[in-house]
Amino acid sequence: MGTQVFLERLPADPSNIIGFQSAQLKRHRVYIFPTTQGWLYGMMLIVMLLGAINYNNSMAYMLCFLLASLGQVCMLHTYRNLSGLIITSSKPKAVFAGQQALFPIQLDNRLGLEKFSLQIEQRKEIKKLFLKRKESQIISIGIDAGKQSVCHYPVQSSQRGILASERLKISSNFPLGLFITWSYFETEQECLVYPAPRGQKQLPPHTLNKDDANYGLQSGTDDFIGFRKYRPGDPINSIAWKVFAREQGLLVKQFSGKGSQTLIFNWESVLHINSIESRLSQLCYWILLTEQTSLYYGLEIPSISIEPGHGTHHKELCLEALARYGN
Amino acid sequence: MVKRNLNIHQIMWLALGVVLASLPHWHRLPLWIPISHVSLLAARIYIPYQLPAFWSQQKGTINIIRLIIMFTGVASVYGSYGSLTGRDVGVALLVLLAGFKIFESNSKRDFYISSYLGYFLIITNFFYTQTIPTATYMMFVIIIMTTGLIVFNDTEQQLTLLKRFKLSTTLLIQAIPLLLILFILFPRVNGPLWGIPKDAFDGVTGIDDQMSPGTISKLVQSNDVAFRVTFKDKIPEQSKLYWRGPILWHTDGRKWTTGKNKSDLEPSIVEFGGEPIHYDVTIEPSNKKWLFGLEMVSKPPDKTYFTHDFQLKTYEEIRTRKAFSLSSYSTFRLNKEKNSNIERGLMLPGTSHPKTRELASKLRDEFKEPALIIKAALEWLKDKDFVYTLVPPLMTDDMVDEFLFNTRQGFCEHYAAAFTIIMRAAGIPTRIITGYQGGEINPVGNYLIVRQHDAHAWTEVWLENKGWLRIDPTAIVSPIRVSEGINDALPEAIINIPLGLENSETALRLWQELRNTADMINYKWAQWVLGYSPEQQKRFLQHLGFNSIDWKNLTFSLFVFLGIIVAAIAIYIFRKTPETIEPARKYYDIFCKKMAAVGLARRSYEGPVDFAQRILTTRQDLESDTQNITNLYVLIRYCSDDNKLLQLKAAIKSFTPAKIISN
Repeated sequence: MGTQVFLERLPADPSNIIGFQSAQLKRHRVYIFPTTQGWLYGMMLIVMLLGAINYNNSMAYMLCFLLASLGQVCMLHTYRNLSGLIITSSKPKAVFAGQQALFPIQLDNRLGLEKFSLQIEQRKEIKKLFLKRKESQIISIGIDAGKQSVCHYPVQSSQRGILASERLKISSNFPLGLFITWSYFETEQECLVYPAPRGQKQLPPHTLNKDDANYGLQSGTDDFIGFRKYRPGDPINSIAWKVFAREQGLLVKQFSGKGSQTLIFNWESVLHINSIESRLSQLCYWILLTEQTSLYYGLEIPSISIEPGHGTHHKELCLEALARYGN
Repeated sequence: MVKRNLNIHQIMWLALGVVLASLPHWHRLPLWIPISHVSLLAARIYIPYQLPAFWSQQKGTINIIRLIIMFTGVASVYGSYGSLTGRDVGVALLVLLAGFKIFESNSKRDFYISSYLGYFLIITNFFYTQTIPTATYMMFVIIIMTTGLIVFNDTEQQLTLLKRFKLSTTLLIQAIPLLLILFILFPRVNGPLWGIPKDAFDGVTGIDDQMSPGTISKLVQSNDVAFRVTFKDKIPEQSKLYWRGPILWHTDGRKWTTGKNKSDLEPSIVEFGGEPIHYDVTIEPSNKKWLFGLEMVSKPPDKTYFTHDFQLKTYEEIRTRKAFSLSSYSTFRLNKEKNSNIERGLMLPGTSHPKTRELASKLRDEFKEPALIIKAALEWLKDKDFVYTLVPPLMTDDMVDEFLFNTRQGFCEHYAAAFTIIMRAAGIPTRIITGYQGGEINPVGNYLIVRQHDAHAWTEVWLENKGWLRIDPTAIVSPIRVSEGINDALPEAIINIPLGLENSETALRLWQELRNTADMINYKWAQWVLGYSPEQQKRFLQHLGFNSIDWKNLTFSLFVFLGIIVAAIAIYIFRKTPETIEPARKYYDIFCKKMAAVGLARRSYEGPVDFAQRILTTRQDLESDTQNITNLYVLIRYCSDDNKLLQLKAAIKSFTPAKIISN
C-alpha cells in the first residue's frame, strides 16, 4: 500500500464487478491552490483596494470586497467540484504494440452534485537539455449528479509486454479558473500489449496431428461423424442446438473431411528470425492470419504450449502467451 | 504559430462584459474612443477564426503592428487631453486598452487579463458616480463578466446559458455575506495614500469662493443635493435659514473673490442671544474646504475653524460625505471689526460703475446717516421694478451700471453685487456672503434637504455700534424667495415635474412624495454605505458593542467572522443532496401521520407490515383500510408495481381513522 496512501478502498460492493478497484476521493486528500490566473486576480484585488483607500471610495471598496468574496466562494465551489467522487477502474482491452492502450476509468458521482469539466491527466516530466517540460495527455469529462461516467485514458504502448497504469491526476478549475483542485489516484491497471503483428504472410507447413479426426473441421459437405463436447471457441453454427434443447448438454457436431487441418506454431518455425521480439511478432501475425481462416491452431513456445483451438477466446489466449513471454 | 485558442463564444462574452462596463463612460469620452473601442471588439469577433498561414510566420511584423496601434492610441489620447495623467485620461486609456487587449486575445492568459481590465473598468465608474442605480447596473455587469469566466471554464459545455447565468448569480449571492463582513470590519484607513489626480473630483457642483454674473444662477439649475440637515428640535422657519458660505470682499468690477488670504486674522467677537438650535449637517462631497452652517454658528466643530469673517472651514477638502454636529443662534451680533477690514469693505474697482457712484453720492448727500442711506437704497431697488429671474439679459459692458439703470433683471448675485457697490460708494463697508438660503423639508425622514438650487448671495453692512448686519437685497425685490424658497419665487419652474403632471394636484403630491422617499433612500445609502469612513466605522462598531476598536482587534474579528461565514457557506455547498423521496413513501408518511394523530405512531424500527399488525391488535375497525394501504404500499415499494400509485393515493386520502377514547 506504500504508494497508495491517498486512496481509500471501498468495501466490496455488489455494484462493483469483482476485480474492479476503486478509490474515493476523500475530502482531505484533495488539494487546492490558486492558479496563475488566481494569483493575478489577487494582485488585481490589491490594486483595487489601494485605489479604494486612496480615493476613499466606498463603492470601490464594495467592488473589491465583492470580488474577494467571490474568489473565496469560488474556492469552495472548485473544491466541491472534485470531492466525493468515487473512482473505479476496469481491465483495459489488450492492444498490439504501437497501438494506443485505453485504460477505462469509471467516475462514480453517486455522492455528489453535478461535476463539471474534470480533467484527467498523467504527468510525465521530460527533461530536454536544461528545460524541464511537462508533457501530458489531458482528457476532460463532466458527470451529472448521481450518475456514473466512463472515460478511457489513452496511453501509447511502445513495446510488447504489460503496460501498467501510472499515477493519474484528476483536477478541476471550474467554475472561475481561479483555483485548481486536484487529487492523485492509482488504478493499478495492467494492459496486455501483444507483439506487433509483423513478418511473412506465408504460414508454416501444416502440422498434422496424429488423431486429426478429433480436431476435424466442418467443411460442411462431408459426412456427419458424431458429437463431441463443446469447447470454448467452437463456431456457433456447429453446436448441436437440438441436442442442447433436449437438455443433453452442449455438444458440437463433427463432420469428416479432407479440410481437417491443424496448425501448431512452434518456436522452431521462427528460429530463423534473429531477435526474439521479431519471432513473437511473426507468431502473432500467423495467429491473426489463421484466426481469419477456419483452421485450428495451437502454440508451442518455450515455457508454454497451448492446444490447438479456434475462436476469439483461443486467439486471446495465444496472444497473451506471446505478450507474457519471458516474464 | 499564431493560434486562436479562444472560441467565438468566449470572446463574445468577454466583449459583452467589457462593453457594458465601459458604457457609462462613453458620454464622458471623446467620441473617437468609444468608436475605436467597439471597432476593436467587432474586429476581433469578425476577423477569421484562424489567421492565414502567411501571418503565422510573421510574428515580428505582428508585434510591430501591435506597437504601432498602441502608440497611436496613446498619442491620440494625449492629443485629445493634452496630458497623460489624471482621472479622465486614465479612463480613456483603460477603455482603449480593454478594446485592444480583447482584439489581440488569443490565449487563456489574454482572456483573463481582458476580464480583469473589465473589472477595473467597473471600478473607474465609481470614481464618477456612486448612486444606487450605478451600483445596481454594475452588479449586473459583474454577473455578466463572471458568467464569461464560467463560459470559459465550462469546457464540456455542460451548462445551458441560463444555468451559467444562474451559477454566476449564485456565486455572487453566496459572496454577499462575506462582502458585508469585509465592508463593515475591514480596518479603514484615511486616504489618500498618494496624490489624487487634480480632476478626480471634477463635476462636483457647489458654491465657489468667487462669484461673477451667472455662477449662482447656473447652480440654481442643478437639483443636486448640497447637504442635508437633521434638526434636534423643530425646523426653523424658511426665512431664517441662511447657510453661510464664503465671504467675498474683493471685486474687479465683474468678478468677486475672497481677496487675499487673511489667515493671520483672528475671528472677531460675536455675541449670541436666544435659544441655541442644534442640528447635524451631512454635506455632500464638494472638493472644497468649507462647510455651511446656519447663521450664526456658535463654535466650530472638530476639524473645522472660523475665518476672521466667520466662515466655517475644514482643514481638508470634503471629498466624501461628511457629517458635522453644529449649534447656532439665530440672534447674534458681529460687533467688532478691525480697521483694515473696514477699509477692505470700502474698496471699489478703479473708476468703474460711474452711474452707480453717482447714485450713491446722491443718496449719501441726501440722507447722511448710514442706516438711512441703506433704507433709501433698498427702497430705490423696490421702486424701480426690478425683476428676479434666472435668465437675465446678457450684460457686457459695465455690469453693475447696466443692471441697475438699464436691464433691471437679475438673480441674487446681481442684486448682492450691485447693492454692495452702492453701499461702498456711499461709504458704508459692505461684504457679500454666499451660501444657501432655505431648503426643502423631507417629511419622509423629517430632515431638510438643501439643494444646489437653493444657492444664494446676500450682503452684510458695517454700522458703527451695531456691527455687521445682514441685508438681503433679493428679499426686497422678491420677498417670496426668502420666505417661501426658490421654487415659489422663480417663474421658471425648477423642480423637474414630469410632463402632464403639472395640472393634477394629487399627481403632483404623489410625485413629491416619491421624490422625498427616493431622497430618503439616497440619504441613507449615502450615510451608511458611501460615507462609511474610519470615523463612521468606529461609531457603528461602538454602537454594536465593540469596545476597543483598533486595527488589531478589527483584523482579528474580521478573520473570526470570515471564518464562521466561510464555514457556513462550505456546509451549505457540501450538503448532501437530498434523497428524492419516492411518491409512495410520501403518501405512506401521510398514512402514518393520520395514525399518529389517533394515538398509534409508527415506531422507527417498525416495517410497514409489523406496523399494520400492531394496528390490527388494537383497532379492528381499521382492518380493511390498513390492510389495503399496507398491501398497496408494499407492492409499490418492494415489487416496483408503480401502477398502484394512484390507488394508494386515493386510499390514503379517503382514510380517516376515528378517534377512540380508550376506557
